[in-house]
Amino acid sequence: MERPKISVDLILSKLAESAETARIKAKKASDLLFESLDTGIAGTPYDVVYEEDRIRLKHYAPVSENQLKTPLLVVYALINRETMLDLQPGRSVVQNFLQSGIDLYMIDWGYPTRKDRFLSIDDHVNGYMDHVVEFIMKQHGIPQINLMGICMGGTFSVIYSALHPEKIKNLITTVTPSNFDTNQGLLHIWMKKIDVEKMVNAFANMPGDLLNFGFLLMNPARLMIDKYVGFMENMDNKEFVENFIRMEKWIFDSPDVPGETFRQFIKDFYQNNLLIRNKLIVGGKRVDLGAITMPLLNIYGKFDHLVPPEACEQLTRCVGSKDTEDLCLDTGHIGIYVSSKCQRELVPKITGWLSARDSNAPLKKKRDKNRAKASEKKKTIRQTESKENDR
Amino acid sequence: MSRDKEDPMGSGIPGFDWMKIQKEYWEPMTKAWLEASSGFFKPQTSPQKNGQETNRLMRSLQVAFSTGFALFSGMSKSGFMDVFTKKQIGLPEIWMKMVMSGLEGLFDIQKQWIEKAGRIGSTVKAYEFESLDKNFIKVWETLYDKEFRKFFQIPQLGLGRFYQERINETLDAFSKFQSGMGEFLRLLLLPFEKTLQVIQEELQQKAAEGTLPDNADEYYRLWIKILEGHFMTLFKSPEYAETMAGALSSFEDFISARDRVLRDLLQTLPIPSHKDLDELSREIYLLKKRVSVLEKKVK
Repeated sequence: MERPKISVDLILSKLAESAETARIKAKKASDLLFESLDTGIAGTPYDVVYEEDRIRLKHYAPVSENQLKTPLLVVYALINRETMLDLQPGRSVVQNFLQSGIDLYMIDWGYPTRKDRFLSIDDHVNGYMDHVVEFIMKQHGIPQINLMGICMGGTFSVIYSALHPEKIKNLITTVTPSNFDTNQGLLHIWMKKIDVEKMVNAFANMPGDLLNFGFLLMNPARLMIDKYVGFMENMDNKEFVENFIRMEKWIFDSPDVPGETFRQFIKDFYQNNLLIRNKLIVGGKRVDLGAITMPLLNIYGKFDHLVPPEACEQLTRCVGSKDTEDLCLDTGHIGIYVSSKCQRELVPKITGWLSARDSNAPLKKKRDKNRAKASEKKKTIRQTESKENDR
Repeated sequence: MSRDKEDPMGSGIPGFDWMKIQKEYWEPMTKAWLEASSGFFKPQTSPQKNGQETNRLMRSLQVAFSTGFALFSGMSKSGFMDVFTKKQIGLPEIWMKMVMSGLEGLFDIQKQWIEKAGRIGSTVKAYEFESLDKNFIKVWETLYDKEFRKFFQIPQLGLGRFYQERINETLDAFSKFQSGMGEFLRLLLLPFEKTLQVIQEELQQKAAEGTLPDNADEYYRLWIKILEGHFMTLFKSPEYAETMAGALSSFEDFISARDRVLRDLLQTLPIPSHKDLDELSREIYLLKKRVSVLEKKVK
């Protein structure tokens, strides 16, 4: 094989030229890393209004007059944490919702311990989720709430809406897998091969770090090399460093997934694709997507490598509702919530869609009465970085 | 003392002389030590038939030597040594067989290495991972399954057999986990190897076109782009999914086997094991469910 003649002398002379720039950059970077950085995440104030076992229901303090009569409950996945929706001021889905006048609740699934290994999808959907929905309905004195699910939380929301359609006014699913019979995403290929029974027997709960390692392996060149090369190149940029560390904090904050729930999710969804075929049984009842008759907005990312469009787009065709809409954004799985471009698209779209369907929701005075009662008990949590780290 | 006079039956038996020397050395030594130390403590004694008190240690020593001499006497019976000698001749054959099978395996591994080394630098097709070479880890795995694994599967005897079996299972699972993980890591390194080879070809082409980059950053961008492509192709290959599942499976086997041994160890300590806690958690979980159903009925 003939060796290509690489102009090493030219490369070296360019490197020498940039040596001075690199030295200044390194000096600035070291100064920057030693000074105090604002890397706190999930800083928007909220109250914990309901707690059960490890889960907590967060209610965000409104910043403007409520524009919608029906509150919105956001259900995040069991993988990683809901803090992703509130990563930083100015790039926070939570803050955008509040500024749009949405009364916002969000479930924090907490950190499962070994005793939670037997908790099933039924316990999460017909247990925790239903208790939370009942609580919000009681607080507001209303018969229905709006429900928004994210990723696996979206799948839970679909199941919930099919089993309890009378309690959900509008359903929004974002990057939600419902069809698992596709080879477009690596997760869909890999999950078909794993022996999940053995895995759960060995680990009890699925370790968050092992899951994270799996996610990193989906694109090691970018996620394990290029990402950090990019960090080194921008180490002298305070804003970049702060945002980078915020993202690192979120991405490696991975609670374990309860063993039985993980087993069911892999077996019934990834390996047997029962949900979209209306064959899934949860809590002894068949999940019939035809029972989802409320309006449905289904949002997903065109370049999502975890939940590809093929896994999301069938849902609107399978539900019983006639008021459905698909929205495919030019972004990936996380970009939908954190990219500046999508920040400008996602929340206005959801708010507008909900507003158009919120006109006849009853708003009773009972809500304020209940709130006043509850506020005596609840404690306000101003979440700080140190508290996040303690967990 | 003549050997024939002492015990003519034992002559010619391997080990007999050694036993005799031991007896002649240890019996007076023990006696002397006991006499010397009698001033410091009273030894445990028991009356003998003739009324003399004999030390317990001395008695044990005498019994041990008597048993030893009885054993050698039995061995001196006609025909025993013939059988013993024949068996001894067979032993090296068994050892040779074991050593040879191990060596053959090692030669195989070496052969694979040499073949692999010979292929370095040969042209590779970019973004292809089909029909990957069988590598030395696979050869080792086969060799392990065929030759070494059975040592961990030898049935154990006695009171501690279950404990020993669980330890053997853990060692076996660890060996399997190591080879499973080794194979998985080998696959993960392949894109790097292929990227280097492809980048060489790309550079040749660019050199021919006169478009070689003169900036280190551009070389990095080119490398990372090709590397990403190789990873993507590898990850979609059925072999990767199978190897990953295999590595995970062997890891889980090891974790489970290790936990069983740890459970045995924990039994000796006054702390609950994961199994105990899991059983308790399960009972609480089921009870909570029952309470919840009853609560709904009452409401």
